[in-house]
Amino acid sequence: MANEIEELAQLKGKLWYHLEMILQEIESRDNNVKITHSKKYINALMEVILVRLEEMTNDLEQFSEHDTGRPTKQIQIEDLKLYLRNSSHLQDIILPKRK
Amino acid sequence: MDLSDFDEDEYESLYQKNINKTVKETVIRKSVPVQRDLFNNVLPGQQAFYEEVQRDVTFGRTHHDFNDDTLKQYIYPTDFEIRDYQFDIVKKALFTNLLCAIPTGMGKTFIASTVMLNFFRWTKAGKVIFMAPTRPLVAQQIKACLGVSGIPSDQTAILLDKTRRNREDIWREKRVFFTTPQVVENDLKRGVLNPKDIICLVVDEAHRATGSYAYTNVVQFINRFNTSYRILALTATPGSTLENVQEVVNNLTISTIEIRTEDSDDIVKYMKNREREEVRIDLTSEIEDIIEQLGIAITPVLKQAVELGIYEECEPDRINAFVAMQQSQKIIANPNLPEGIKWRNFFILQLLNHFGQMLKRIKIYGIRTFYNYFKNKFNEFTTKYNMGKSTNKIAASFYFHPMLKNMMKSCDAMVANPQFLGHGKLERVREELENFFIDSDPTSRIIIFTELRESALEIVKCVDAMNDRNIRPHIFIGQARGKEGFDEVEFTRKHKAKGRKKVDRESRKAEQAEMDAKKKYKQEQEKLERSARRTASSEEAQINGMNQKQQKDVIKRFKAGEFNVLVCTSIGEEGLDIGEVDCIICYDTTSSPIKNIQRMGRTGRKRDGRIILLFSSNESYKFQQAMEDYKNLQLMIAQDYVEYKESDRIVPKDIKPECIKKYMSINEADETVNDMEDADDVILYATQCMMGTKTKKKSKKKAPVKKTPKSKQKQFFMPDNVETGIVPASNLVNKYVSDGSGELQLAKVTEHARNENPTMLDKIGDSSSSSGISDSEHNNAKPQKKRRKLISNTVEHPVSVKNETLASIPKVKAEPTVVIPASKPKPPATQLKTKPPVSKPQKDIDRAFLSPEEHAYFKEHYEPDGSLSMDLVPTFNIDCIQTAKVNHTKANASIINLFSDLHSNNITRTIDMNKTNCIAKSLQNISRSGTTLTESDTSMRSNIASIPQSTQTKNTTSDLSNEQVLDDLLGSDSDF
Repeated sequence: MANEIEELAQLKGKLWYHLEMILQEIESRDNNVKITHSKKYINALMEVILVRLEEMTNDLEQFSEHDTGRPTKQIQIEDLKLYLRNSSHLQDIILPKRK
Repeated sequence: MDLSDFDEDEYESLYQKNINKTVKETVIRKSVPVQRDLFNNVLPGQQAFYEEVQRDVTFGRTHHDFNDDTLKQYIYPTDFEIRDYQFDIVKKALFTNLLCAIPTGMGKTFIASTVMLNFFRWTKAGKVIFMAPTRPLVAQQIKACLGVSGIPSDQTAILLDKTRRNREDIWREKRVFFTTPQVVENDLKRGVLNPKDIICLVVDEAHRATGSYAYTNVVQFINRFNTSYRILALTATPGSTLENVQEVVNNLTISTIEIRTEDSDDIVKYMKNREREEVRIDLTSEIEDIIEQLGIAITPVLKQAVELGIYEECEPDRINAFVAMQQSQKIIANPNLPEGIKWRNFFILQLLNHFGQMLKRIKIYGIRTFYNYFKNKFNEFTTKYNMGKSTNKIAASFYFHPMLKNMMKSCDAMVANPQFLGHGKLERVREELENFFIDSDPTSRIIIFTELRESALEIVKCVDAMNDRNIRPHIFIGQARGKEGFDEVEFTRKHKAKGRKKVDRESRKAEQAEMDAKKKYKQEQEKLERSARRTASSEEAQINGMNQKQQKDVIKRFKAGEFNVLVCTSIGEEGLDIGEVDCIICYDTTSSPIKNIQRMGRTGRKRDGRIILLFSSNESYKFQQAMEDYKNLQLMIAQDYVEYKESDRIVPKDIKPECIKKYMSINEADETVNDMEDADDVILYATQCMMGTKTKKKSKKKAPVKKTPKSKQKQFFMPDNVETGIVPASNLVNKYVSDGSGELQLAKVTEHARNENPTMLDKIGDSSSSSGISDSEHNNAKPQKKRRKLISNTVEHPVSVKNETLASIPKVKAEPTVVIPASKPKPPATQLKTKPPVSKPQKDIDRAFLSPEEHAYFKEHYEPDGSLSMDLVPTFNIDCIQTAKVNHTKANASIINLFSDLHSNNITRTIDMNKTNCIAKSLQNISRSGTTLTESDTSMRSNIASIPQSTQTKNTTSDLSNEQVLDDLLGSDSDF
């Protein structure tokens, strides 16, 4: 239990850090209007993303278990493809380039 | 680049989470047009904007444990008739900090006890404290409270100065306390009483909460640790000016004032009839004569003062002592005046001041009082002047004025006549008393109020001289000794020329001894003489003052009917339980409305009363003015001129307790309290109840005294932002270091400070605990435990472990736990924490989540503060949160939850946020300080797995209330 919480906290921290980086990139992109993001905002964003991530991993896990013909129950690229079924553009991005 | 340090705000939010109050300040600046000169330059010295500060105070969840089943309703006792105003006030007082100002005798105590009862029921362990300024008042209130409400007496404690020994236990075991504010203040400071435990604080006579009175200190102290408690302030008179009221409101963090006057609609029907008679008494011809003579004598001095511009021109009989004193103080404080002029002016004003006093005495109190005062001043001056000790020509011109000789002669004659009454008021007093006692039942009592002791004695004598068996007066005054008049003989002896020879010295000694003996004899004689008279004890008291015992004795006898006229100075106005009287005579008036109201409040409580106000000179005007002012003040308070403080509702927002009117069956024990009269009996009884000795009164078996091991750690509640622990003096001074070029440079003190006071991040790194929050307390307990373990090891393997023990643990004795409301981590704790220094760097690298690229990027682009901030929190209104039948998906629900938390500033959420922020920054920090970064963050998974092994983190994400932490601290006994 304690480990789980610890992990979660670390994950959140990590997420926060990356988010902050991304946001800073956005901030630095437009030099005319100086925009910074408050701690609260980042936190909220982080929490939302975490929720979404949870949902996504859940989905992916379900997908991987659903395919009965599969030899292992590992999540594969196909599952992700299924997850992104509504956005063909994203699907294209994740698919390995066939030459 | 000091990214690792948090700013102050962040620290506060991290550490002050034990206080559930958050203050958000918004400063709104609007530009205002400024004046410019012809070249369009702004003229200097103007403010270009108008600033408005909005303070938004919100309260989080309370830390008190509620009894959930009782929380749904509150009890309103119906043992007495339900009065609407009481009902309304109770209803409000349960949910906001309230100042209740209703006239005396209208049941403030009932309101207090009802509120106390409900907070007692609602919480599981919250402490309810009732504070009253004096011992007798405390007793009175216990009586009233236990008599009214159903608070069980075995949960009640009375704490006064005497019960010092086992206070700790009493504070711990009981839940309702009746005490004085000084006791509370001391015990808070001593660390015996935990401010977090307090749920309800009742402040009686709240108008005293000004300046640095104990009330103010208590409230301030508690506020630093606990903002989730209810204050109920009671008074008859919130203050004499709006500023006073505002000060009381500020000091007690009041958010509503409920003020009722005697004319308020909802009060008037419950008021007993109070007949008020204002009697104007003209000055007698003798008095007018004296005033005129005095006036002639002072005229030259007054003229001089007017010419010098230090006193405003007026008729001699209008000289005001107070004005003269103010002026003289002003002169003393003025540093620009040459000394000579300063002191001359001062002496003139001093004389005018004395003259003013004389006028006041003769006009208001009578010839005897005046003459005593005058005689004293006269003797003092003439003796000094004749001996050459004083060369005050100005005063001499007054005191040696031929007019005064005349006056003194006539005065001497008048005073010598025992039947002579010095003032028309005295005659009136006699008349009133006679009339009153002719047709009244024997239980009737009268109180006469006067400001001066001398005058009080004069009244007693005058009343006594009536020789009426039915009228038995006594004086009632405070415990200070009476002022001794100027002793002419003594002064002369002391200051006359002294011989230098031995013979002289011897003879002086002998003389001294003789004098003392004489004086003593004279005093004895006087005493005997006094005791022969009927007013003996009154006279005795006027000289020596009355100590508490004597006061109590007099009150007792007054109640018993031995005396039926009590002549009081201001001590009788409030605080003392004199009980019910039928008639009040105010011999003089004060310009303080509070005093006037308190005086009048002594009658008309349970039956109709009568008030006689005796006015002479300008007293009538003074009284009217005071009362008028007070009325205006009440009006102003009613119209919200006072700025209130926010207060915590404490009871969760979604719970709206309903009123249950209930007949409280008061148990037998409390009933007995009701019958008691004497304050000390009540206190004694209550103490007995409290100690549980009450039941086995007969069998005086003493329970074997359990010696509680003194294992309990001492706790100090320190002021804000203090550094604790020992700081070597060398760290307090600036050090100079010579750098290469031979110049001296200030050594970086910050470096020091950092080492001693590791920041949050250092700690996270060190202890590899990400808890971050609340572990300052947590830490404190932990190292001590560790140490004990080590010591036990030492016993077993003395040789092998000893070295390690010494090396790893600095000599830290079992230090008292220190709880600091908002401050940095404590040095001793963290020193202990940095124990495993060897393995640390390795770990740091392991835990670096960042790739070097990431790290470099962060370093370059990170900017802690920006000019414009984005802070958008969407609100989901109720319509979109509530769903008909289908629940939200888990994801949506958690998002809604998140934002509603953010909106309400949920404490857990904030803690979580800060924590995550900590971690994020620590990641960045670690990677910055790490020298060799071998791996990128691909091995995150394994890293995470490796961390928990070395953590001793507490689960801080769940709402770890501070109480728990405190419990931990208290639980860890420190018997090594």
